[in-house]
Amino acid sequence: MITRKERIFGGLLGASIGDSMGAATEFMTRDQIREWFGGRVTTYVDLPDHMFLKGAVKGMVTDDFSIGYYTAVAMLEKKQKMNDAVAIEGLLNWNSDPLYSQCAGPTTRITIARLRGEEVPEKQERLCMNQRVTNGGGMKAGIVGLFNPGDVDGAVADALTMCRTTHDNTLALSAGCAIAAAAAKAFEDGVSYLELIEAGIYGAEKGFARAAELGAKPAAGCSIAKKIALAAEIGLRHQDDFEGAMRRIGDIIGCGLYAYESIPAVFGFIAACKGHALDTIYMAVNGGDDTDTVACMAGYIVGAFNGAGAYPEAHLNLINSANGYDLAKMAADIDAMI
Amino acid sequence: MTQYDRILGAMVGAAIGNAMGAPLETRPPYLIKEELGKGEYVRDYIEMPYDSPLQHIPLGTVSYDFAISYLSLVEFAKAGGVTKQAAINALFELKNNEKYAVYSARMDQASAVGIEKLEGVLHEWTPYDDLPVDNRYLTSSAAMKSWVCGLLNPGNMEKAIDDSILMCRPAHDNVIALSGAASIAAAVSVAMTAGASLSDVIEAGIAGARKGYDKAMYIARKAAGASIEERIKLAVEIGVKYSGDFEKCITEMTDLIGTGINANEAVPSVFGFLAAAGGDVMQSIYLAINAGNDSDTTGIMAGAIAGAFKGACSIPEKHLPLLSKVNDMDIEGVARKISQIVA
Repeated sequence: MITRKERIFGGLLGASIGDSMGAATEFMTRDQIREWFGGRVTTYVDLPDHMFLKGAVKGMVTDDFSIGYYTAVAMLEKKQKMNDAVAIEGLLNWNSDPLYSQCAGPTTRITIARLRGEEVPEKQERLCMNQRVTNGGGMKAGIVGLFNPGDVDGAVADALTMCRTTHDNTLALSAGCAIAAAAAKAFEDGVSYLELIEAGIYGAEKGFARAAELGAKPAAGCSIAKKIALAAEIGLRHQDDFEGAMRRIGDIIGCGLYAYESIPAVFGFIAACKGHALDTIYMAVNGGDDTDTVACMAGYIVGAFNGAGAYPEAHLNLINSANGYDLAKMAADIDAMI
Repeated sequence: MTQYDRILGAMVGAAIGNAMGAPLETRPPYLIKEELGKGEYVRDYIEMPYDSPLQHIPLGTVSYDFAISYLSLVEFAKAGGVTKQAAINALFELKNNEKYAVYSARMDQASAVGIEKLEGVLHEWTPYDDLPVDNRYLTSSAAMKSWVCGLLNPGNMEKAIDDSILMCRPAHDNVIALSGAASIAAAVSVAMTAGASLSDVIEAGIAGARKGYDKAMYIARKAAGASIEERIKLAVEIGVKYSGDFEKCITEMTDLIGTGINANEAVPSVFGFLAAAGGDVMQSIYLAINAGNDSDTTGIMAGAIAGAFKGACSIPEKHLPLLSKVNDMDIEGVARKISQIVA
């Protein structure tokens, strides 16, 4: 049996592995990744010179995992379950680190500037700001899944609180809740990868409905729940066909910045790889476009699903030393707090 | 049906879809129905909603999409066909002539950036400049005007694709944007031919997306994103499945394909709506615009393809005089000039 602590540890480790491996492949097309690195990327490689994160070393995470990490630190220090104050504290502390603020996404940047009291010129707010239906909610919501082991509804509630600070629209929140719900579900003993996908769909639906009730802004875009189902269908049909699954999911679902692309893609990759701890991450890392975010989100879920023991020790050592982390301790602290 | 009738049909269909779709822009279908249509879907020109930056403009005013298409046709008529210079002239004319301020005020970000590059405006360096891809501007700003290349190349799909790249690349140098442009141009080109069926038109759209992408890969800035070709196939499947159910059709299309500003959403969805409507001009437009989000762009593309396919004779008569007058555009005159070039 995998202990709760091992699953929390696995979630942290999976997310950070995905983010740091994906950091090298982000933005590029699948073909460009293959050409650039001379094949599939399944380990930590040097970042190409064109990447945003200048001076990064192998194993270093980007904005994706670090925002979750900083939020977890804030929650642990304050011994505080998710609320507005810790969500904002985590966000501001994270943004004070120049390493990550340089790669903050478009939606997050605006919120932080406003939180710091800066005037953000905006032409005119429309009722629906569809350009903000981004994956910045999903990328950090995995962490609240680890604070709510087995409690899918608790994870959805916390994901809403955490993500409303930056991504207060129904679709981005629905996406965040999908990731948080699946990560929370992964703690249940004997759960299968199919149930992780079902939890993702449940989280997306519940998150959308709750977000609307709470007054989040409406937005136009695809349905997170329906696209998770479609992505999973494609993934299931292409099990044992790594290349085919990756291509079909990238071509039809998309792995881009929009929440309704990269979050469903996560579940497509989980379906295709049967929730495997590393294969799922590899597919996300090589799937093109917003690879580090997709891989980070997938990592939270499959990491908790498989437990930290699924990752060879070398991963942990590299992640810890490259980022100055002690993920085992953080996992123990989270386990002790909840 | 004469070629002139198809050219005029495409122009009027495009203008209707663009003008009717404009007030619906940014909203999802359920809000269009609840807020703008008072419980019904929208099937006419309506006032701009309260949150639009543009207020109190006459009903039937087209947006940037049709204006740039129209001015491109004017320039192509002068040049005797599609040329890069004529396409650039149209971009500058629309931006700089005060007369068109109501349209240029609504220019999209991708076009604004593309035109500034043509003007030689120097921007401060950003990290995006170093990337071997640009995933920010894979929008429909090319596809929304490339339909005019189909009018100038009736039945010649290959040339329509080449012309769409020639026309759009100056301001939209992006493989996915150009794949979308080629898809729409190819579909219109085939729709212009007598005896073409709706499936011929849709197949041309699929082939155009693929060929446009492959051709652009050699010359244009690369981009990572979902495939227009693959998404058209799924969109058509959805359209056929829900052809008898208006609401279900637009909901499934927006839920799974999307109708946002990226070319890999708006362009595929248009083919889905054409399939659902059997190519009928007004029904294609109604589906496209009520799907919301980038509705003036899906509207123009659906109207242009269906208009070329069914001809002006299939469009209610009131639209041409209204749109010509409100927008002070000689739609018939330009259609006649284009028909003389391709005759």
